[in-house]
Amino acid sequence: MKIKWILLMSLIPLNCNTNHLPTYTQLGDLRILTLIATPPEALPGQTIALTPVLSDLNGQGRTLTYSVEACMDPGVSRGVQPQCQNPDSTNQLSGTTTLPAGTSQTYTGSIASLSITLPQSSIAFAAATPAMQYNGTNYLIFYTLSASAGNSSVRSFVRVTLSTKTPQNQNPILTSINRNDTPILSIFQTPEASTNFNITIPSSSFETYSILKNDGSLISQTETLSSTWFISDGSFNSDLTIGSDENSWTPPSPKPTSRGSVILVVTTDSRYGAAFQKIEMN
Amino acid sequence: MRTSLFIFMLLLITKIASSSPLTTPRQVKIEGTLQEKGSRKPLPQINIYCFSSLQSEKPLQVSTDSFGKFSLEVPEGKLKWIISASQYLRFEHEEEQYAEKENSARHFYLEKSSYLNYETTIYGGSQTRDDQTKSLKRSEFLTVPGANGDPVKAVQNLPGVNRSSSFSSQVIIEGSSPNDTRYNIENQNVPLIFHFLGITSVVLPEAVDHVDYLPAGFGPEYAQSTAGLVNLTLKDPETDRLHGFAFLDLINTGGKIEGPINDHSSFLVDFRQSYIGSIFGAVVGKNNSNFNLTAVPEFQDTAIEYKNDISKTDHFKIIGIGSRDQLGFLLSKPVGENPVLRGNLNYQTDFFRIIPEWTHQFQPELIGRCSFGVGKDWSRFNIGELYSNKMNTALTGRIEIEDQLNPAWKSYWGIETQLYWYNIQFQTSYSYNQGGVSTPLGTASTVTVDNQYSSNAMGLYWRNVIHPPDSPWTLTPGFRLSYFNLTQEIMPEPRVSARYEFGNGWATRAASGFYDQAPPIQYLDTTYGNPNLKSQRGIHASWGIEKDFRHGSGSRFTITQDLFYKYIYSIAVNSPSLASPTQPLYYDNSGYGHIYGFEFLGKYKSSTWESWISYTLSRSNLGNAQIPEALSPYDQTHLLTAVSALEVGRNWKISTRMRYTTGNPYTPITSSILDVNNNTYVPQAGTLYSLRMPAFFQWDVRIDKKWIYNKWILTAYLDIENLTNQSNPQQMNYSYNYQQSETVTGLPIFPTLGMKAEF
Repeated sequence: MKIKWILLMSLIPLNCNTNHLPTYTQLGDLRILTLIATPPEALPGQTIALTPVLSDLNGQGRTLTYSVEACMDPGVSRGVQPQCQNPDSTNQLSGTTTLPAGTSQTYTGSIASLSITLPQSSIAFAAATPAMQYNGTNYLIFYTLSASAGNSSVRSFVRVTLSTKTPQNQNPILTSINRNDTPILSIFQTPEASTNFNITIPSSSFETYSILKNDGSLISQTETLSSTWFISDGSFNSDLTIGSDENSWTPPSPKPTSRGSVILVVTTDSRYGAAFQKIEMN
Repeated sequence: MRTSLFIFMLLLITKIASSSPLTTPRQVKIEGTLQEKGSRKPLPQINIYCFSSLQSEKPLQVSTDSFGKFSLEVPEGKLKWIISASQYLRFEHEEEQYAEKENSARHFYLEKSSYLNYETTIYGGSQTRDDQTKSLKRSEFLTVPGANGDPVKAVQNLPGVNRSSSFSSQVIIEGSSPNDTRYNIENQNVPLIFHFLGITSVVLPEAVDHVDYLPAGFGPEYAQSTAGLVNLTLKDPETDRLHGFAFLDLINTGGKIEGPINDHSSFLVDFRQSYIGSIFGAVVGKNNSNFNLTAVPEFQDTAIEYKNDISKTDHFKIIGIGSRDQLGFLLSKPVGENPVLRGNLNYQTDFFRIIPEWTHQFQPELIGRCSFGVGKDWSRFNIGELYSNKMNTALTGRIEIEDQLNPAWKSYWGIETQLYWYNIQFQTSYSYNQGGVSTPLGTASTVTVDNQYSSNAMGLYWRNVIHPPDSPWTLTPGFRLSYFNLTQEIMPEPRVSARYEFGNGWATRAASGFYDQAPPIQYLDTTYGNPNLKSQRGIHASWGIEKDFRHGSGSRFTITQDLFYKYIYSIAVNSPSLASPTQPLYYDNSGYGHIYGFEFLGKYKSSTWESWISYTLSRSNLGNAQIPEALSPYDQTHLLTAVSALEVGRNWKISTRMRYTTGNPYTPITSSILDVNNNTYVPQAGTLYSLRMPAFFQWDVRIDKKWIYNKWILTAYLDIENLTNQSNPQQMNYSYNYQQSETVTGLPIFPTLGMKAEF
């Protein structure tokens, strides 16, 4: 009842007020869009790559400072604040990265990857039952980004699954973003009318996996891939699509003159696997 | 010659005799009825005067019998009827009646001087069993402004009843959580009292006799609430003739019909159907890029009652109540800071209760009452992949013996039981909430449950009313023994109240007691809850003074003042701890709260003007193992309501209500962090409940006009909520990353125009 009430109350703004707040998928100021761990599921002690994907539409190309820390999940899903009380010293990283302005003056995309060494099983599986070891425990990697001016900082975290399962989860593959079912391979002219976009995902990305129950039995499930459509200008009919569903884009009016527009799609597999693609328009 | 003279004299005498004014006229017997105009209520013991053109000085007089009937022999000719009765307009009627003329029964209708009177205001004490009870009768809540004729909304004008959000369908009693308020119909528990968004209560107001509001210190008859309760009692069906009405306003339509079946039984049926969905769709849903309506928001409710006065000692009635709410959206964009909230949204709640009640008078001093509530509740909600389906079968019951042991001592013994069989299925996020800041649904772990539970909350109670004749004291000691099967608790709960009449209209009263409330059933789930939770408990204390200035003087004031204190403990709250290395605790009983305050109610009443002011000064604090004691989200320091109604003649009435309340506390959000796996930001709370929403002010006006016809009444009303179109912030709405926010305001100016025809 309480949850229902929270949900209903959340909808009230739609009913009685015009919402003037920015939406999740509208790009603008510096923000992290996703962190891609490759692979998203690994054995304890393995080394993985962490690729930040960010957007700094209004930054015009600048130097950013990053910092990384990591720890085992303290219980975020049950309400514990997402922060490391005792960060893993091997993964305390920091540095700078310089964003190019980009050909469309809209820097949005990935930056250099970082290497992260996952904890050993004595830490990863401490007090974990066999079912938890098979299904996985979570290792949290926190990534903080600050503009060189030092005033704005954005924080994020990603989960990496530590498990004994085979095969382990792989990131999905997002082959292309398509305009009216045709893959977009280069910067193109901003359409002046509503346009349908979708994505191509190979069937191999829809992985089948198993979950070990406490009674020792396995249940099989298949991933559902969903995609979030970030946009610098215009608006999409839906912020999130499932599989290769089409999404109608309405162009901005007027379109920006000082820079191009960008669409970035992040596809996730519900097991912390992720991939992205972007297209640019001028 | 002598014969001719005799005949002449005879004819002369006859002629003279026939033309003489002293001749006794022929009499006509007139029968008829005297009824109240519009309502056709028989008017007994009313004097009727008839002036005859032949007897102009001294009118004939007759009184109506107990059925409003009269019979009178009047001389034929011109007649003038005059009826003058207290609280009625003078009646005059002229006619001619001759012996030869058809003589049908007369039906006279007396028009009341006003059909808009507040017949009574809040009553308590002597009129109710529980001195703590405050009640509103139908005649009052139907016309109180700002309540749209709704009984429960009218209760919200009383001191101690906090202002709910404009969209809330719950009642907040004296700073407690709205989840702690219990709702009853005919003393049987029901799952909700309001239709969705708090538009109106689930029973047609015209079918309600009175609404009871029981705040701190209520008696031992009730349990499963640490705040108080609201009880609706349906009216008895009319027994004199068939009555009915139909109404139509901007959001709903409905009607009621009631009347006798035979000389000892009667019935009542009502029904209401909303069409708010059509208006909502036209105003909000049209060309809305955020969502499409997939199921029109609407509500229906019905009540059916059958009453049988079997004998002088046995009375039986059975009531059926049904209610439905539903709405549906297709959300094309995520909602605010919760990207998980998207897709199809459907919400539907239904419930019905069948409530038989039998009263038997064993002896003049010994009465037994037995009632049950049998029914089902359905609650279905889904948004995207999240859903919650709940189906309960309910069997509640109450058996009570009322025994006047001696002139000074009356006892009530009773047993109350609430049996529920739950079938609960939900797939939702375990959203951790602390200080009103929740873990976003995407970040929280998804919980899927398909379980059946059965619960039994029962109690034995004993209530005594000790009032020696001529004593200023009335003591009501009571005791309740409550039991809840799922927590295996037996809870002894003494409750006592006392009243002392000083005389001259002064009285003081006090009440105290122990109370219990079972945790929400899903909190006790063995996998996604804590099966070791215990019941929430409460201790209440209240003390008040009242003064009725009407005693022995011409003043028309009454005032009551109360102090109250509630200590609530063992509240089930979210816990981030682990029950074992592999099992989250989810909930614990570490919650507690202190609530205290002062309440004032002052009333003034004359024949055409009534005003009342209610004011509450209170403080509500909550704490638990994770957070120190701080303001509760329901704390409203000042709560001021002024209601006034003025009859301006010709059955016009204008009434108004002004409300001012302190804004509710809320917790600021200082920062956030992106959970990239779930496309959502996790908020970081600042100091709990350290900020307040702006104060709330609303001015409501209502205008009623009645047109009275002999056999029916037409009413038109205009109820304008928030006449000044005040922007009253209700809650904060955040951007996806919590860096920007704006307030969600309540209803703008909201006029409701309606018509009602009754016979």
